[in-house]
Amino acid sequence: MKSINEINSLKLIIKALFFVFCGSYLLLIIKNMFAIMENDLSYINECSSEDITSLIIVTIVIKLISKGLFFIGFYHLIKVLNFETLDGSFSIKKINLFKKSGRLILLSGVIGIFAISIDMLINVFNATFSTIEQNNDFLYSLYFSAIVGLFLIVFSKILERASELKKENELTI
Amino acid sequence: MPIIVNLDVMLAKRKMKSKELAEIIGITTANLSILKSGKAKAVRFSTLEAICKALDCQPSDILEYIED
Repeated sequence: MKSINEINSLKLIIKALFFVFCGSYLLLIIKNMFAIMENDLSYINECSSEDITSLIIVTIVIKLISKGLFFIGFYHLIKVLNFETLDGSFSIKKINLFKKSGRLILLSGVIGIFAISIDMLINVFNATFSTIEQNNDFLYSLYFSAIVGLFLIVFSKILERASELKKENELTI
Repeated sequence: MPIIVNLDVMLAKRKMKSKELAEIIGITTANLSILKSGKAKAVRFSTLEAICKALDCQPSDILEYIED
């Protein structure tokens, strides 16, 4: 009972973080829409409007996709957290949600790392070294995201096995 | 599963009802039904002992191995 109370308080923190993330993602979309309406992509990227190439636009779109995937994965994870008892986490539905969110977060991390790598290469060619450090910091969070995604997939496999063992245990007379 | 549970046969031989056996060995009728239908994944030695005691038989009278 005590552990459930602890988990409930942690769930609240995660849900609050999800709303913060939703807010920041919404702001990002508004900023990008504004940039497109103004026809000035320097709002999105640190480079000046003359430097903008199609490659930069592609990286921006890939980053947006990566963040969108993370958003969906995070949403699934929030749905997983809506269980009342620990036994509820053994249901097939919850396990599938864990797997789904893990895959999405892992994919988001991998796509994000790919986009940042392209961005870093562009910065090297353009000799804008100040943004390389920023990108490098962002890279760590993406690596972490990919690792968390992988962990969630592994965890879902463990839960799947645990669910099978629970069923077997229930059918032991 | 190649393990067949012949509990029905033994119950008929002893002219005992499932409910009675369940009460004697201390398991629910639902669990006894799972055992009878062969859906059970495992049987505890303590349950097997109780069944053998109640029906006055050997484990081989209840469980049978038939190759697939």
